[in-house]
Amino acid sequence: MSLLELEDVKKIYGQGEIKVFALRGVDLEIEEGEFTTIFGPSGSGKTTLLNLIGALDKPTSGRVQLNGSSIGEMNKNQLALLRRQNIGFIFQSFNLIPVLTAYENVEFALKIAEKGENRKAKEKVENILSRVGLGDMLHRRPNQLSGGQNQRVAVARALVKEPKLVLADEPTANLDSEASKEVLEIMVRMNKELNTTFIFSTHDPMVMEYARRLLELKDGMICREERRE
Amino acid sequence: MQFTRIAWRNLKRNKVRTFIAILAITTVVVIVVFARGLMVGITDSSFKMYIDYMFGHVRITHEEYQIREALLSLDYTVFGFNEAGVEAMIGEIEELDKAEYVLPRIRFGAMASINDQLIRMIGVGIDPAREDQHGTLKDDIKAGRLPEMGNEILLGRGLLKKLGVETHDRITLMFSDTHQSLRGRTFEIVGVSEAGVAALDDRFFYLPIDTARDMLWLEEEATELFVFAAQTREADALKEEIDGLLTERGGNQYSTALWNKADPFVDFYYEVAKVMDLVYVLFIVMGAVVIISTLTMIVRERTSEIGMMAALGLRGRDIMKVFVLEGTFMGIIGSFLGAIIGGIITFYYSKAGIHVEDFAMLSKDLELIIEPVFYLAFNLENLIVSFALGVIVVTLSCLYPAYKAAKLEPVDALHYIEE
Repeated sequence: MSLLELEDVKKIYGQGEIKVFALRGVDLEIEEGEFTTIFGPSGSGKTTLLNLIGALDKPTSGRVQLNGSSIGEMNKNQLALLRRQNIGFIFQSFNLIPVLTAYENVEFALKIAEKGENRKAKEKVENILSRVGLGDMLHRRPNQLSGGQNQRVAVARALVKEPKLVLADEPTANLDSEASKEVLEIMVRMNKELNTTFIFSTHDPMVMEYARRLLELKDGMICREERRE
Repeated sequence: MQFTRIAWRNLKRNKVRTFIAILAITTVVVIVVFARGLMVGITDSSFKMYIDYMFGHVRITHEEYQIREALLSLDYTVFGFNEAGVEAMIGEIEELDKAEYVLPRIRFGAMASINDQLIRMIGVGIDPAREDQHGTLKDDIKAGRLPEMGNEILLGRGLLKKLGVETHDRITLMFSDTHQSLRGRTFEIVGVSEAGVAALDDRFFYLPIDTARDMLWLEEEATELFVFAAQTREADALKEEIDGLLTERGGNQYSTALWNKADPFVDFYYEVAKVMDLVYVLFIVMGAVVIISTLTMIVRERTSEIGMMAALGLRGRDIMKVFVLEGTFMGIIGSFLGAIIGGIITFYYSKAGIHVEDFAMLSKDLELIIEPVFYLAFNLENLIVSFALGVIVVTLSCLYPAYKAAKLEPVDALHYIEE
């Protein structure tokens, strides 16, 4: 069974005469361990698709099934639980909690997921931060870190609870090319080491270079797909 | 623990805003501590004066006397059980468990004519030995002594001034006896009292009860018996014991009244106190409005953060916790500072007092016992109650903005980042 299945998924915003068709019937299957990039022009529906995959929103029609659970049939609390256990998010603007240190930001995500005892949690947090190259910056707050370092904390935060799926919405948009490359290489490595599934939405050609599967979205539909070895 | 840490550290994100919110709470809690101290201070001292001078904890009178009290009737007196005299009755009352002591009084109207002006006053026959042992009257004597025998009187300071006399002067007063005969008697002023209350100092004079009986044609009787318990809170139990004794000894013509049930003035105080409880809460709600508006601003500013927390899997109630805790911390700090500063101010005025002589003078025509100096009540209970009230009201006020934060749709909150 695929990790993620989308079947004729439509998303329409607005009511009455003014309707915006964000997705017009998307069919998609993603297997565990994939490293997929969704790209397309602005307004093509990338963010909407990512929101549905991330259980942040429900489709107007069609079926979104993640790890065997159908998102459309779940209530708010069940969706929160699904996100907590199965999905890691990486945002364009990092979205770290500014009053927490790098260590605490990562620990926070782990505690929410209620995974691991205290002693093991500490090891886990330190380990993941070391793996993203921030082992010596555990106690720095986001304002004491560079953009690239912040995004690495965000990657660690997304991965610490060992989710099945990591969604990254324009993860390199606020980074220079050097930092983008560092962050992407970390994600590729994690994908290989942990077999975590990554789905990106991006405009950035550099991100596309790293992807093993490319999906082009246009006018709310997948118009092209490319797989690479 | 994580939420607590985040909420606590969030206080430092905008220090000026946090300071203003805390200052608002501090200010209202200071006001509440002060107002409660003032209210309790006024109430306690007024009630104490009322008990000491006007009523005792339980007052025994003839049933009819209560109805005609305003006329200072001498026709309905306490004459003991089976008219055996009031002294034996006092002895029996003092043997009751809750009774500490009894002060018999005879109140009657009197007047004096000074420079073509008629000055009305109230004479009070007192038992000098009992007053000396138990009463508070002796503590108010500013010159001379208690009247002990014969035609000796003690005058209130204000009355002394009105009559234009001095200690050791002699003065003739007129009064009606039990036969309604207008009579006169000359007294020697042996002492001057000053309770600090115009309603007492300007109108009352005191003389030995035997002298009062003699001049009013009364026998071993009194118009009122003031019965005192060891503590004010024992007044109810004392009244029950006295009622039992009166029934048992056939004293059905006498009635008992609790100090706090007999005068609308006391009820008025109680009603005001109840209204004030509501006012205290409203004061804190006023301060809490600042917290509500601060948190509403914070929720708007941190919409993206709320979206991120929801994306991490936090449920609505967890997100609420973060904001409620943040507001509660402001409430705790503000209420704590308010209780401390309010406590210091209240302590100062509990010693120095607030002088309200003009107000006390105005109130004498209303026959209210108002002291010219209000001493605030300083006690730990006031500080704890005000602190708790501050924290509870502020915490409850945080629920609305926190609920709004929790109700944000994760996708909308995250989308907010991009705007």
